Amino acid sequence: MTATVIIEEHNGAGNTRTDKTSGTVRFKNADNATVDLNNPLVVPSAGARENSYEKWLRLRITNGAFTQISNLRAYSDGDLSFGQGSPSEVNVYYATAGAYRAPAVPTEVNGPPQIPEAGSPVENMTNLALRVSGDPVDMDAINTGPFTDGSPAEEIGDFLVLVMQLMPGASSGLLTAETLTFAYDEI
Amino acid sequence: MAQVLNGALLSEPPSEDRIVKSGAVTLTVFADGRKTAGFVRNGIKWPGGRKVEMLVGECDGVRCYAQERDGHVYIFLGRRNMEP
Repeated sequence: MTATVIIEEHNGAGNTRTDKTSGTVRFKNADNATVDLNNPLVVPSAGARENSYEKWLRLRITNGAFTQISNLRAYSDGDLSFGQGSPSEVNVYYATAGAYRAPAVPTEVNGPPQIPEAGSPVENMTNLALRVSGDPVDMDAINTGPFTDGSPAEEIGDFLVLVMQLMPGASSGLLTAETLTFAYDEI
Repeated sequence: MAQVLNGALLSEPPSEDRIVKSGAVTLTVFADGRKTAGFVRNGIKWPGGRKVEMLVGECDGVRCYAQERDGHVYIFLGRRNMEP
């Protein structure tokens, strides 16, 4: 039996985990994992930006027998325009982090947004559309693999921290879904 | 393993002053583009700094709501699904 690995979204000061495998991550103006239309992002006025709360995602082993899991990675299909045309006024930025903290809204004067965990003291986040299958996000650069424990509660690799940033030209409404893929090697 | 990413975007506030009413509460919303002391980005601080968790109102027939966020209260305008 191969390993069962799930994608979890982490929220709140209490680090609540929600299984998002094959699910939807809704960027919003609140720190929760609920996929609804409450707390929508607001299209900013000219000269301003709007950031979502950060989304903290991490892989976790829940079941199965295996020897080791390694080479954790995440990538997009390279087109994260969310139906907004090109160049998109809606972008998703990422950074990785080794340890959890409660999600926050990055300061909105910065484009791209910045995250303290990625550098000292802060570092610009990177557009997720740049990370495709041939050049993915390294998801075990900080918490390095291979992972061999396999206990049901074992969280593996780094956190993927995402922020959606809006520019004034964004169109209102529910955005077309875009796909984020996590992959790993298993022996 | 795949996930989908998306979000819901609300239109920016209109360019005129609006009145928000909800129950006994009436307050003036200074809309986007008006540089007053109460203007904050794409939302408006609640006059006097009063704090609420959520308030749903109406702005000239358009649904609106007030929400505390980052230590401030902001007013957002929209036509749908504004209930908390």
